[in-house]
Amino acid sequence: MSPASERADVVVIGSGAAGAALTWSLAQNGAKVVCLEQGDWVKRDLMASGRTDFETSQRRGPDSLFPSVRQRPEDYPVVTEGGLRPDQVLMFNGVGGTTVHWEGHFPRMHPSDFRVRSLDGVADDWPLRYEDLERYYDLNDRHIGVSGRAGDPANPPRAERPTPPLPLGARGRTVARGFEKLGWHWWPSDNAILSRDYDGRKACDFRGRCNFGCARRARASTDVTYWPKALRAGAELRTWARVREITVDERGRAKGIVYHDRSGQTHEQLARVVVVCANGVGTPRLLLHSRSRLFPEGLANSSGQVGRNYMAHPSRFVEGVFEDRIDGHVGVTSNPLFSHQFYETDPSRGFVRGYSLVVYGPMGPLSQAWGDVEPVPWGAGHHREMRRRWGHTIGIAVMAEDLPEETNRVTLDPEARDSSGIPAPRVRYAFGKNSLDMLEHGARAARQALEAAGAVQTRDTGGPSVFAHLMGTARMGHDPRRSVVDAWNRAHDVPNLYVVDGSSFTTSAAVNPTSTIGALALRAADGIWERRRDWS
Amino acid sequence: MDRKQFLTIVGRSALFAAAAPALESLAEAARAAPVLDTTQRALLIAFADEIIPATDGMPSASEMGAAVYLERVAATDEAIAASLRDAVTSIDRRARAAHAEAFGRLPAPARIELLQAMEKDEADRFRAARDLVYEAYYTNPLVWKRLGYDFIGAESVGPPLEPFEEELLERVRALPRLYRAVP
Repeated sequence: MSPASERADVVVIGSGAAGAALTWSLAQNGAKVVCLEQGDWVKRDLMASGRTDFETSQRRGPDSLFPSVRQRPEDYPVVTEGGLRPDQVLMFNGVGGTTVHWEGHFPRMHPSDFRVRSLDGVADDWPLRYEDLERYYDLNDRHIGVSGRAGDPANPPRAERPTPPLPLGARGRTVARGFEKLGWHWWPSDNAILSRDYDGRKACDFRGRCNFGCARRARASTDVTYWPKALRAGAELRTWARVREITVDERGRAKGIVYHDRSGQTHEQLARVVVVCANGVGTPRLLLHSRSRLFPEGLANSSGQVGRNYMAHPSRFVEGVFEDRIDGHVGVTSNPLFSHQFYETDPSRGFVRGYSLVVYGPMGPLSQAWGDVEPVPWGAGHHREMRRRWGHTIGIAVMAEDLPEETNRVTLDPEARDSSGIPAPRVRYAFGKNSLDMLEHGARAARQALEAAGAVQTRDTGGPSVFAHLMGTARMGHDPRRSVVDAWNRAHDVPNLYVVDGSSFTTSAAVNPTSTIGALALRAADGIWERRRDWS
Repeated sequence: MDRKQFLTIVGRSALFAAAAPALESLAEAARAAPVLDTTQRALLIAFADEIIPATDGMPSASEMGAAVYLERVAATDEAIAASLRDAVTSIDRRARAAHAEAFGRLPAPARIELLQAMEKDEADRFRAARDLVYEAYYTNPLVWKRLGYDFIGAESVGPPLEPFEEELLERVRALPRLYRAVP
């Protein structure tokens, strides 16, 4: 191992939604921050979104959203069990993390999401409230560059969005018509996609295929939002740096990290504070692998909760076929509008908590033929059915709140390893009854909405899937016996170790997590900075 | 198989001319390391045309160069090569077992019946092969054009869309608060 680098104030592991925001915040305060990213900067001109093979790139090759398919040198294998498929764990390793390949839907949690135990008697309350995060949500929105409209009656009041709502397009207008007919809630989505030029970035020009990478930089990813600012503020970003373990001193405090560079050389980076932002699978993997005499079950794991309570947002996809040509693939990939008609608990429905309804369209002709819900039949009727569906299909996805279950967990696989010899994560996941009941209700609601919008035919997946949001595996709580980090994302067991990403979520809510991850990161950064006298 | 025979098998219409560069590549690849032999290639073409036949004014899979595309992709991807070989081998075995005849020489109803049975009995294998034929067809820009799909490349600008219409929110804005109060 090469000699240890000069001690940093803070070392951050992972450069995605959390790592970038937190690094920027601390660096602009004056902290010496080193961020380690196991991938590289993404070359925008090579992104699959600009290539005609964008659809096949998801099933094979180095541009897939799924590491088990992608198998780039910077990726690690992910083993799955319990009904979860390898292509249901989605992440990206590179500067910006998974924000490089997300769709940009940017909702916030509701106040009730932080009080699940108190309100509904399930799971646990978060150790913080919506109001504690509110100003960080606002700050994060400004850095990311959110489009949308304030005034949604299903969410607390918020500042006017940095840019106006994106166009609904024919897809959005059609579904809005259905919601209107039913008298249901709907609202234009908060999206991390610019509707106007903002902060040196260009507005979206509706090329679509957002999740294959936005070459225009209109769809936010932290490599184009936080990172340029963080680097200007003096932060150091070390790419091709794969962290092997977090080391501790004889007092049980984090001492630094050991990592491998691209050539396989091992290095040590000392730091006063260590922050893990490696996502809901990578973070528990690293903590579990950082075993020592003082922490034989893995770092920060005296509760045994590291890796447990994996949540991924159960989903169900329903599609409607319309007589009119809609061209649902045109416009942003993410949903232009959503409904929270069934978000809050209603005991008469037979389940607790609730779900979002989000609107989507097909990616392209091949995705339509393969079928998100059901493939176009082969044979004599193929062309007739393809013509009936292509350009005439809109989907509504049900995104259900996932309740934490200890048996849904990330462990270290006894056999699979990455190219540095570090054990691969093994993810076990099974759907709970509450989730399945909720998805049944949601599928009926989605059908109802599509039919009200004028669909002449609807079909749904019939079975549950997941949105592959990675949450809950190092959860936040007041009680060190039942949680891994406190309300400031600080590990109960290790005073100078922080876990800041989806793994710190106590519950999943029923909205995409990235907005909350960013807000938590900015808040945690303030907490770390305020404690700087304790860094030692 | 010489080049003339090869063209006879795979080149069924003028539409196929669009795939000529790929054909050249295939011819080279096939000479160097063929993925399928002549019989298998003929079967693949017959299979592809049962999956996507020429109906309703649309060309068949082979007319759009599906077999050429698939062999070209399979030449650099062993998993796809294995999928193709598996499917072709299974179809051939079924045809000879049930009819003592090559798949391509069976009457259309018999071919369809055989594939329906395979779809039921060997669902994963059939699905993989079907999806590859779909891939070959629906990644072809000529097919995109016929479907009215405009691919917007990296250097292009997307279609104009009407700005968000605020008046659409009139009813929803007036709804009572929907989120729960938290004590």
